[in-house]
Amino acid sequence: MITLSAAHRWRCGALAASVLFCFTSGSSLAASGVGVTGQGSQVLQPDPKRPGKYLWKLWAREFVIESPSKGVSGTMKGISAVLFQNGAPSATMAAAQAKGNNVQNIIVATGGVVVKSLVEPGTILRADSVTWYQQKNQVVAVGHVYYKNGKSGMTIIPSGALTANTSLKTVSSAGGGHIKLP
Amino acid sequence: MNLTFKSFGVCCALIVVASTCLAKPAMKPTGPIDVTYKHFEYSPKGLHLFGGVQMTSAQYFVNAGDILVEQATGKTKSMKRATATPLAGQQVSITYKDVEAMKSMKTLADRAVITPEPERPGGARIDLTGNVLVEMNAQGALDGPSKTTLESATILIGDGPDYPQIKGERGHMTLTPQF
Repeated sequence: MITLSAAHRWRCGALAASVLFCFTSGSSLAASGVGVTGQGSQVLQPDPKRPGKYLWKLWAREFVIESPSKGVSGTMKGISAVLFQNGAPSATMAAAQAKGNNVQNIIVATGGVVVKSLVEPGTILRADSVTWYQQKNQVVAVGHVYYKNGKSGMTIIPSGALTANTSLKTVSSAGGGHIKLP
Repeated sequence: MNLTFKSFGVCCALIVVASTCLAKPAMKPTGPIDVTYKHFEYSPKGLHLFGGVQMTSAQYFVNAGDILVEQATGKTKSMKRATATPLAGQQVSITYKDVEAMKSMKTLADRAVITPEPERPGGARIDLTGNVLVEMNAQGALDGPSKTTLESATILIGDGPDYPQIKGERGHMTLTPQF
């Protein structure tokens, strides 16, 4: 059973106004002084420009939601997500941990991050950290970055950061590196 | 001792024959191709590599300023065509080495276009244009180095003893026999 104080219920109301939360397992939900913690959640971010569409969907094993009265930001562990672009699912992302907010629509995923294109099957991006900028339609990967194009088989190991669009079809890097063409 | 051939047809024939004689009979693959770069941009249109690019395969080494790789439409090769242009004041260099056959060949040109030719096993062609210079460390039966300047040249690479082959246009060859 979920029990929240009046203040927390208000915060969750503000949260629900901007982010639609569907708790798949509400039994461990608990309130803290600055937000809400819980386990087993699905977070859906509606696309304000496209009714019925989403910007992202995210599933987390554990989560902490902070400052819900000023937009919503949160830290989530054991996440998997679907990233959308123009209302269409463009990529999936899995990571040990992620932070995000619904003001800038940025998700920063860390810990063995894997992004898989849903537009070009077999195209994947792995890195220590991946930041997704929804409004820019851009992902920026840093740390042990590895990219493989599913269509051509081309692999890229950049020395520095790698920038791609959400579907991973367009990629660039300025820090030098190594490419293998099969 | 230098020998100068005015008839370029003779030069081409000699190069091809010499290359054939020196080629290793074993099969050698041309791929995969390793590329190092300073900056790259990749999109469905192609792969553009900038600034001091090095492209290495089992058979050749390309050093160029920029390389633009066009995407293949087929499934057999990821590279449809690669166009190499040099950095300012430099030339594209392509080096072919066959250590076991004790031969090497270096080419310099203002521009190089590399096109896979999957109809031949391990096949690819490299079209060189602009101030082409071909240097070989051994020239077949003459057993000596050679330098050839050409307006344009095509290097055919592939598996088997018939490769690499060089075909040139309007050139001048200097041979240095060692016998």
